[in-house]
Amino acid sequence: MKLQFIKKMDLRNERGQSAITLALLTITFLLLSGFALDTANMLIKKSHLQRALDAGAVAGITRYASGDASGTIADTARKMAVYNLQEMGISSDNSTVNAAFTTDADQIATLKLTGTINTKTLFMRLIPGAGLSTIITTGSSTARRNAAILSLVIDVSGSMSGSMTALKNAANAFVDSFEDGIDKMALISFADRATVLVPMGLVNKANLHSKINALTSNGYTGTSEAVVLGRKELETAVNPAAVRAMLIFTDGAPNVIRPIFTDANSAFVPKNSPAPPAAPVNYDYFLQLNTAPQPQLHGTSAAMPQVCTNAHTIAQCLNSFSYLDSRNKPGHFAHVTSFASPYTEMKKESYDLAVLESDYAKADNITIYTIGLGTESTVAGDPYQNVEITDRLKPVFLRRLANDPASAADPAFPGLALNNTYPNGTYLQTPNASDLTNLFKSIAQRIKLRLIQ
Amino acid sequence: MTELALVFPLLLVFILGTVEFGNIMMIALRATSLSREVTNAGFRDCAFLSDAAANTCLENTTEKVLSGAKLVLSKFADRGSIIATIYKHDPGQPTALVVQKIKGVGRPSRYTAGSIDQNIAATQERIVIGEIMYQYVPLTAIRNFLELVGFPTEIYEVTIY
Repeated sequence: MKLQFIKKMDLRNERGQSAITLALLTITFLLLSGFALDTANMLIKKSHLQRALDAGAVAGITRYASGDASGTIADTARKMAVYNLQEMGISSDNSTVNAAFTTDADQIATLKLTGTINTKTLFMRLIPGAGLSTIITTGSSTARRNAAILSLVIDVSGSMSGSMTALKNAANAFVDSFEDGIDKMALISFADRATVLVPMGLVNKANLHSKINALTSNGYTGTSEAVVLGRKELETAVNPAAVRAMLIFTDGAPNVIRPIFTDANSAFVPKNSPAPPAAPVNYDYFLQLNTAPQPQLHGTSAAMPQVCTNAHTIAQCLNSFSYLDSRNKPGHFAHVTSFASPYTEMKKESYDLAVLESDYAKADNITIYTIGLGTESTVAGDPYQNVEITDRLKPVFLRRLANDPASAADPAFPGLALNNTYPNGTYLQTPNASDLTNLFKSIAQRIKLRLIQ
Repeated sequence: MTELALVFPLLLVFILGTVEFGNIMMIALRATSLSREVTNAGFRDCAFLSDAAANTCLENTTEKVLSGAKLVLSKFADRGSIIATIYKHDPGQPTALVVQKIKGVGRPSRYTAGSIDQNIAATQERIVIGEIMYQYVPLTAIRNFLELVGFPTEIYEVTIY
C-alpha cells in the first residue's frame, strides 16, 4: 500500500516536467532567433550605411576634381550620402553623416565620411536591463584624390593646319582639368619628328598654355617616336600612388617610321659607300613614307647626309637593314624582305612599331588614351585598314594603341585580341574639330575619376 | 507529448522563418553589392562621356554586371532586373535622361528625371542610379504562409552616385 502511494506520488511529481522544459527551450529559442534577426537587420543597415557613405565620398571627391572649394566638397558628400540613405528607407532622424575634407603635405586630398544609424531592435529590447532597445551602427568611407602623371602627345602634322585653333582650345582645356603644383604633365608634339616641348614636371598651366598656343602644323605623322617620348617622360616621374596616363591625339595614320636603323656590316650611309663599316653601326634616320616618287630617309640633324633619295630605290636603300626599337630590341622589317611592294610594307612596319612602343608603355602600367580627328577608314578583315590610305583614321590601330576594350568586340576583326594584362584605355573619335574640346575633357574626366580611391 | 504537439508547429514556423530570413538577408546583401557595382562602374566609366559613347559604355557595363548577377543570384535572368540610368543636369536646363539600360526581366525604374533630388542633380551635373530588383521565391514550405500574409517578395536595392 505504501509502495503504491509512493509510486503514484513520484509519477505525479514528474507530470508537467516536459512542459516546463519545453517552455524554457521555447523561450531560449525565441530569444536566440530574435537575437539573430536583430543582428541580421543590423548587418543590412550597416551595408546600407557603407554604400551611402561610399557614394557620398565619390561624389564629394569628384567635386574636388572639378575645382570646388573644400566646404562645398564636404557638403556635397554629406548630402549625397544622406540622399542615398533616404532612398534606402533610412530617415535622417535615425542617422547621422559627417564629412571632413583635408589636404596633406603632399597635396593629396582626402575626404572622410563617417556615419551612424540608430536601429530599434525587435527582440533584443525584451532582455531586461540589457539596454539593447537601440543598436548604433557605425561606418566610414575615405576617398583620396591621388596625383596624376600625364604625357599629352599632340599631332601637329601638316593635315592639322585647318584645325589648329580647335586643337589648341581642346589641349588647353585638358591642361586646365588638372591642378597646378599637384599633378605632373609633359607636353610632346609630333609630325616628322617628335619633340618634348615641356618636360615632365609639376603642372604649370601658364607654361603649358604658352607652348600649346605656339604650336604650328607641318610635316608627316611620326606616331611611333611620339609614343616613345611620351613613355620616357612618364618614366621620369616616380610616384607609386599616382595614376600614369598618356593621351595621344592624331588626325591620321602613321606615315613616318623612325626606329634606330642598324646596318649589319653593310653599307648604309651612303648605300654606295666605297668603304662599308666593319662593325654594326646605328643610324639615326627617319623615313618618310609618303614622299613621291621616292621615299626620303632624313637625318635627324642638318649635318647628316641625305641618302636614298633620287639615286636609290627604297629596296636598294633598305634591303640589308633591320632596326632597333626604343629598348634596343631588334625590329624585323619582315614585311620588306621581298620588296615586292616595299612602300606598302614599310607603312605596315610603321604601324607595328607604334603598337610595339605603346605596348612597352602599357607594360609599365601606363594607360593610353587616343583621340582621333577625322573620318575613319574601315576595311573589314584588314588590321591596317588599307595602309595606303594615310589621311584617314585607323580605328583598329588607335584602339590597339589604347588597349580599348572595344577592340575585342569589333566584329570586323574577330582575331583582334585585347591584352588583359595591360591597363585598358579608350579611343574616342570625332569628324568635327569643334568636338575636340569635349573629347579632351572627357578623357580628363576619366583620368580624374581614376585618381579617386 | 500534448505540449510538444501544441508548440511544435510554432517552433517549426520559427525555424523555417529563420531559414527564410537568412536567405533573404544573403540575397539582399548580394543585391546591394550588384547595385553598388553597376553604379560605381557607370559613374566612373560612362557618366562623363558623350551621349552616344555613354550609351555604348553603359550597355557594356550592365552586360558585365548581369553576367555577375546570374552567378550570385539564382535564376536572375528570370527573376531579376538591373536598371542603370545616367541623368544629366546642365545649367539652366531641367534634369534629363541621358541613357538607361534595363537587363533581366525588364521592370521599369522607380525614378524619373523629375523625381530625382534636383539640388543634388544640379551639384553633381551627372547622376548615375543603379537599381537591382529581385523576385524572392521562398525556399521552404513557409512559402504559402508568407504569401498568405502578403510578405513582400521583391528585394529592391538602389545606389546613387
